[in-house]
Amino acid sequence: MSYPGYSLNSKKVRNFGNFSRPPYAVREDLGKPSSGRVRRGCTQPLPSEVAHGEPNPVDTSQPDTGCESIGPGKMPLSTCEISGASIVLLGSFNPWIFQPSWLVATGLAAAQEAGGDDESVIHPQVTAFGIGSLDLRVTREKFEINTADSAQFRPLCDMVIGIFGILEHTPFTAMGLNRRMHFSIADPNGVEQVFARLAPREPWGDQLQDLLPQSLTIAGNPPAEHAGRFSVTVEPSVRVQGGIFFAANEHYDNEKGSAARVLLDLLQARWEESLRFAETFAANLLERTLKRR
Amino acid sequence: MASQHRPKTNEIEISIFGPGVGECVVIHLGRGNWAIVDSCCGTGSNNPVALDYFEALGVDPASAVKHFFITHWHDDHIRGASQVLARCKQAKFWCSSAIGTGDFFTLVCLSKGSGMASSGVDEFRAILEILSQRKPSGVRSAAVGPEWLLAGMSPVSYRPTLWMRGVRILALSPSAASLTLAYRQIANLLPREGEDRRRVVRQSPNQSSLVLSVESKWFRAILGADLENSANPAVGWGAIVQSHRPNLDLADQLKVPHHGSRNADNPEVWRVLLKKNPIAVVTPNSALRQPLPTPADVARIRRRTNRGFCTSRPGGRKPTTRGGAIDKTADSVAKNRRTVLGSMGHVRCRIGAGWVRTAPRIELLSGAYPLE
Amino acid sequence: MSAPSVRQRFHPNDTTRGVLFQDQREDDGVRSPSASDWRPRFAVEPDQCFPEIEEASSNNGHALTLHSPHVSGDNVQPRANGRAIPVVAISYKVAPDARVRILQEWEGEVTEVYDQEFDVILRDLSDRLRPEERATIDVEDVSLGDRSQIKLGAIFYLSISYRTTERGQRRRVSEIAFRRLPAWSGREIKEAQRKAVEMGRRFGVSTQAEDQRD
Repeated sequence: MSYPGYSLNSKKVRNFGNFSRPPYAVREDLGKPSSGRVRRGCTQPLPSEVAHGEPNPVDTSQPDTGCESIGPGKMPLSTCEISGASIVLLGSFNPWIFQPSWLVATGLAAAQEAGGDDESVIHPQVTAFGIGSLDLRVTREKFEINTADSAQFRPLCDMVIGIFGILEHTPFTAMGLNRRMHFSIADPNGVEQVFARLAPREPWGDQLQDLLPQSLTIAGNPPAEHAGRFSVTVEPSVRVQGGIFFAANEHYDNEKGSAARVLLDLLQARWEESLRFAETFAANLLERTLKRR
Repeated sequence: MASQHRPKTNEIEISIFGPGVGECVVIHLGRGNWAIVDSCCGTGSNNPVALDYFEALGVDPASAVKHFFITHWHDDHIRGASQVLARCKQAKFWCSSAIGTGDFFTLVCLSKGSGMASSGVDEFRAILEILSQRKPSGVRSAAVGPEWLLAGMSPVSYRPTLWMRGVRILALSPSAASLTLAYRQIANLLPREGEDRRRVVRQSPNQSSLVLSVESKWFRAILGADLENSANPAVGWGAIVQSHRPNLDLADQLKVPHHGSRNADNPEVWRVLLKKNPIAVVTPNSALRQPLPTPADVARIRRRTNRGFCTSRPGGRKPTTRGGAIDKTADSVAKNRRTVLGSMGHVRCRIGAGWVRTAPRIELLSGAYPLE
Repeated sequence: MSAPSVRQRFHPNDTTRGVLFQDQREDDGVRSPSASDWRPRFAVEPDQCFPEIEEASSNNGHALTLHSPHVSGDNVQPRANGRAIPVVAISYKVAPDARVRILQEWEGEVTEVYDQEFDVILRDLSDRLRPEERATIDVEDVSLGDRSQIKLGAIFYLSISYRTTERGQRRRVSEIAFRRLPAWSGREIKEAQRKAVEMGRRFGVSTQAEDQRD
């Protein structure tokens, strides 16, 4: 099965149509926040922005704490190339409080980490800024903290616990622990293999040509005690050429009457386990779908 | 742990375990009754060594262990203690009066959910939770424990039988005077409003550790825990020496206090409390910049006895490789890396407690070695 | 600890998914009230108004817009009173392409502090069965902002990772990051003291707080 539009061996990018606006501003130089330059009408990143990552040869003497599924032989079937995580809380917040200077004053961030984000927005209704390798966005209903640096996953959890240890009366209604991973796949036809297993073509018939799975989402309950409702979305990666993107979410609702402290205790207890579960889930899924013939 | 043979019914056993950080003493009091003093875990294991040992002996700790002592709350002496207590359902829990104080309970309550719990305080909190569940509301605290021990108290006393002499355990410390110092030390550990959140760190010197004497007609052992010396004769080892009554038997064995360190060495202890050439067992501490016992400490012990033993080699060892790239980078930022846990060395001493005197049998197991 | 209700029916529009970064394209065809050209136009003047926030989509996938009752522009949403409303877009960040591959992580605890270095105990977070290690770290290896954190009992994370830049340059990097949690509050300490009194009663230990009350 081929996936036109995801021409894995060429640099062509397909235009998916002329939407009224792209969902995000696309920049040629990656890694920096958008300054508003836009390519009209195209929701795909430019070819130069697509990573052409070659899977790294496995050094078995260096155990990887992240995600890697190993098939027969030393070359891994897939490697986690880009990884991020976030914690999202739903409730009632006052965005105006969340300022870099407040985090520094409460000892939750070093002074040197604050003030480095030119595009911060501090407003009574929305706050968005970066501090160190963490990015915060707070609206009246939602608090989100995010990082694309896997070395910052624990400090990210500490930041949430620290903030809401101080703002202990904040009412929460839900919490989400999120993990994002882009895997490169050694086999050039790997993406096709994965989706052929996850979404076989036959039931869809022949009425559509160039059939292309856009996204698959599945949900279930992990076996661990106190684990939340787990859902994972699998898509062809737009950041790693010929790769697969996983977005995992572990969702918790706060029972009416439960103290907000319960959610934070749960976060402290579950954060690392949740990250590991998401990594293992993704790696196992890739191993099952890539190995079977 | 490889399977082991049990002691005889009328035999006393004192098994001292020490993996490099931490120690645990397992005592057979005769007639299948056991006691445990302190707790530690081995390399690569979250299992307390006492439970592993009982499994190797084929002894069920749930019914066999009658007493569990914790000499003090420091991490290395209490690791895994809550697991031990949870398994030893019939064990009475004893600890030093020095931590029977509201300030220590405040530390324990602060540790919950703080994100910065010290393993020692956390372990103690788990112990109290287990005891709470065992103790229904309204029941006298003495019925379940913890029992707070002070010098002169005798928590364990078995009467003689047809086959065996009586056995008892006596607390030699903490002295009443050292309690005041201990309470002040613990009060200093309490955080103040606005202070940074950090792990609770032990304070020196340790002058309130629980020291126990295990006694039978033919044999006496002093378990020195981490008790140190003090200039104040009413505190530390000086208090024990002062309170020693001349008609009491001298001890045959000493668990050398505080890993053989100079701070815990008191020549009077060897002169007044111990027989000539006693059995001396040291457990090392490899977590310090200068691992204990130092060569000078070893030399000092050897001058006093030629029956000195250490449960495992102090100093730790170079960590096993994690791969060249990781090791190179790790060594560049974390210098002089050493593992703190080695093999779980075991010095076992068994002696008959019947009506005929026998010589103690000493076994060195799993890397324990004689001091040379 | 009682767990909150965790076994919920799955809702496709699960709003606890993180969307601050746009890792992937958004393809749901939702049209925003703004023009196709999506870029910041006007600054909000907070001392003149309190704009309302309107999420462009309930599907939680798009940037927010701020509506201010001031200023006109060609990208406005007229309100019911006919006044022109400018729109300010807060774009999502494009997730950086920097590749970070963690090789090893430790949690460290400071056990002794000297002038230019400090002793630590390291616990392996990558393989928890490995024994603890002791080591010495130079103060110089700690970032300036964290040096005030070097105290007995302080906890930090030490990580070693490969970082590959956008240009494909790979570096092996070690980082020390001290854990930052809020300072102890008076309320927490008082609450712990209150619980300690209860605990003391339960276990036959009189506490100072009780004694003072008596």
